Amino acid sequence: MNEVRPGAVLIKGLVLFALANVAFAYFNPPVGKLSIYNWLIPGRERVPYEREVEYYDISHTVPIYEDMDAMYRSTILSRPKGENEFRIFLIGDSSAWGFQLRPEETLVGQLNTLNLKTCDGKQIVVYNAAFPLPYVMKDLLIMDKVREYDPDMFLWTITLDGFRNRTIFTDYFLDPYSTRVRELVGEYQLANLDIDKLAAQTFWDRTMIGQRSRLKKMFLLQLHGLGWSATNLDYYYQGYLPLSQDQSEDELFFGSSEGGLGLDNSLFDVLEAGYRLAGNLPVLAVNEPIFIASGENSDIRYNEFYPRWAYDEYQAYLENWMSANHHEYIDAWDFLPSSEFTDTPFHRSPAGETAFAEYLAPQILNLSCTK
Amino acid sequence: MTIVQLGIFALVAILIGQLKKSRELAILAASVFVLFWLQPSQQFVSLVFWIPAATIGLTIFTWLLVSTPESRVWEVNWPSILVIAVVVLLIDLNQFFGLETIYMTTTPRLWMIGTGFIVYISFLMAATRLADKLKFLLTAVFIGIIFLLVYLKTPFLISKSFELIYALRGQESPAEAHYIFSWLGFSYITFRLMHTVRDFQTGRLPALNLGEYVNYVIFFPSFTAGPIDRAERFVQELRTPIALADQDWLEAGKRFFLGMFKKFVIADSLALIAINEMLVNQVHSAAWMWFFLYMYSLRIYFDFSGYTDVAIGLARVMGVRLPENFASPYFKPNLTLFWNSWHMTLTQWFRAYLFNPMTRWMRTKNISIPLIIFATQICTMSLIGLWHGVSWNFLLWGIWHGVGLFIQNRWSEFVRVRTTSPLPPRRQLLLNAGGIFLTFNFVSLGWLFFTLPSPQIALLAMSKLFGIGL
Amino acid sequence: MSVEITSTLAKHIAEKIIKQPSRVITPDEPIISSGLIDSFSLMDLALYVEDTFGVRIDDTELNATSFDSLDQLASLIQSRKA
Repeated sequence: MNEVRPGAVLIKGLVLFALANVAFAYFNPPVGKLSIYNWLIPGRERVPYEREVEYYDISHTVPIYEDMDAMYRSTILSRPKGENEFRIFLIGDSSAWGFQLRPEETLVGQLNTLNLKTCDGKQIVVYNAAFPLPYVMKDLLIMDKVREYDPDMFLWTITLDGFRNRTIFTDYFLDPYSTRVRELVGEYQLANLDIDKLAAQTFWDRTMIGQRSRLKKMFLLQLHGLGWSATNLDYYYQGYLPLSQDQSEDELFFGSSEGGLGLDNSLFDVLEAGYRLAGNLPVLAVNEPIFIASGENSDIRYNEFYPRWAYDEYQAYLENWMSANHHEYIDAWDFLPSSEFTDTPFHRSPAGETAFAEYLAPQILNLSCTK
Repeated sequence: MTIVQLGIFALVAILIGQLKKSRELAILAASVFVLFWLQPSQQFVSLVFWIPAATIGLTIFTWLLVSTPESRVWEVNWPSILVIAVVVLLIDLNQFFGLETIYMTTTPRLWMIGTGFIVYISFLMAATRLADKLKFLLTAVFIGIIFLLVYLKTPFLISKSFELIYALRGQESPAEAHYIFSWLGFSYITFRLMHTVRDFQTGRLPALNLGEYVNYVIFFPSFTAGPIDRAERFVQELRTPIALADQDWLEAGKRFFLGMFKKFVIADSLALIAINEMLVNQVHSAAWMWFFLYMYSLRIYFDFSGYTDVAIGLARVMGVRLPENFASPYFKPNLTLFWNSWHMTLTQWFRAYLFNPMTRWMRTKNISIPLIIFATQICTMSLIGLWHGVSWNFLLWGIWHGVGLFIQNRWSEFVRVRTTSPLPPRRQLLLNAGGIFLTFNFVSLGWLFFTLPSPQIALLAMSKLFGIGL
Repeated sequence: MSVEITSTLAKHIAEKIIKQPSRVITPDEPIISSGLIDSFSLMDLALYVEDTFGVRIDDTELNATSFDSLDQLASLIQSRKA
């Protein structure tokens, strides 16, 4: 019998581990595409999203923005397209994702309930591709990614907050995709996006050790799928306080006062990039409804996010920009009464979503037929 | 314990294993330090220091009572006393090194531990003088330890005493949920102390010097979660000169890494899909309920047996073989065999010091056999349950198993007297498989009482498992 | 001597404890870890040994690590008698 030497076992183990890490970094395998969703368990109706650690074992979800493969493979969006299917992907922020709503109550759920058909008889199926972060650059990255799941059209909800040019430092979503972000910035000449602070991935970052947090989350996402599958709950419904009609007298919008909004230097070029990226696929942009207060100081502010001057300026700018660039869009900013908002000035109630879906349906049908 | 802490333990254990001399003292120093290091934060910050100090104080005191005059001589014990004193003093002096935030919140001022030390020594001297004259002192200590354990395990008593302390200080007491009090390792230390006291009384305890005794009680790989060794076995390991062969390293490495994997990868993952109160409320399918229940059964096994593997591996590189605690418990065809292979060192302890004496005593009286079996099983299992914490849940868990063991015992008896020849192998195999299935499910259902926060939730879960109230 | 002890024990166990007189228990067969004798019967066995051989087996010794076969039990008995 061969003697086994403990030292040799240890060294062999360490060498194999190191080799595995180097190989992982070198080949960069698309491990995110491994998923038990849509296979052992049904796919989710929207991307998993939950940020409080203590809710993990309740809502069975983890935010996994580091790996969009894993994120979208866990949803029904990644299913193969049906023969007679016309796929619309909804791109947007938390109001599109459906905070405080069950999947069937969201805009996507309500649009599918309407059972729309294109003029050539195809079944319209709307999929939720939104991720809860108001930021058009994140939207562009997502549109770029989900192209591989064969969309026929994009529905894109936007609002002023998403066009703010923030420091990259706070935009956690972009960091894991720094390489692709740089490519997109070059391809579409996105002059206003400050990419200097964007992290550059080193070889070390790409090893299994460097990627351990992403790998762990991907694994947890599969495990949480079991809890989700058993309970059909993909969000922790914690309740909320209704919005107040009274506003503060603060006139500032993220530190700027009237005249300092600087929309010329904001991320409208990203919006244009979205249209170009979609190519010949139709894009229906919608300026999403906001809560319009009627109480104290409502002459100063529409809501806790937007002072009147800032939003008015944005709205006018958007209108000019759209017509100058020959895009069709819907401005639904005042479409809903203030009673149809839930915990923030953007999140809509189930009844609000029903009305909003019915409002958008004709425009969607219209645009889906122009092909 | 965190992965980093266990990694540090491994390095320390390997270094200690390399010592040709003074291995016992090095283990003692490490164990005393770890006792202080792992003690979690407390409502009253000073207790972070005083609780481990009390553990050592109690251990030394018990040693004085259960040691022979020959093993109590100064010449044998001064190195151990010095090591303990130096480690405790260094931990206290840490306040001057400014490392308090790294491993401990705060340590008492020097004059405080000086006073504490003097008071303790005077107490010891008085007690040793009395010890030879008053035999009941030993029994008193035995009972005292039980009372302390009951106190520590009863949330009601803990919160009452907190209220009392706040009242005495004239302060408003915070909400009950905020009472943080834990005596790290006491559950296991109790068993070791009680075993030595009992064996000393029956004249079966070998003579132990101070270092050996303290090492046995607070041996750092096993003091928080077992296995519960026996003193005579442990010191034999300690007294044998260490000679690590390749086989020891392989075995130790295998146990350590396998244990870490079982605990931190398998068990911690299963924790996310193991049954809990939220799932009981949210799940509306019996099949899924069974799935989550089974995941809990696996989780608790991998967590506990994983930690045992780590402890066994750590001890092995220091030349100490700890006893096994698990032997494939979920593959046992009946409940008796399950309990012979689940947390074995605990059940052996209860058998030796409760079940056997009780059975022996009842056998000498004219009591019917089924009644003896019923009474001893229920008593033993209830106490094992209550040892985890004084609550209805743990009591019900104990009774569940006590009743299960009784029924299984009677059924086996019933079958056995009617079986004349051995079964054909195929039927025996089938019977075993059926037994394993039944036992695993019975144990799993029992875990509901163990893990869910109240008997009501446990009963809700049980009804949902059987399709009622979904 | 040892054979005598093991056969006496084997006979007692088969007839009185497991109540299958025809069952043959070999001297090296595990009787505790196999579950043949449960913890209650183990105490009965200890009481029988005490009565028959005049040797005390302590409560803490009634487990598979002290003895698991009749051979081991017999040598324990002999060592106590000596």
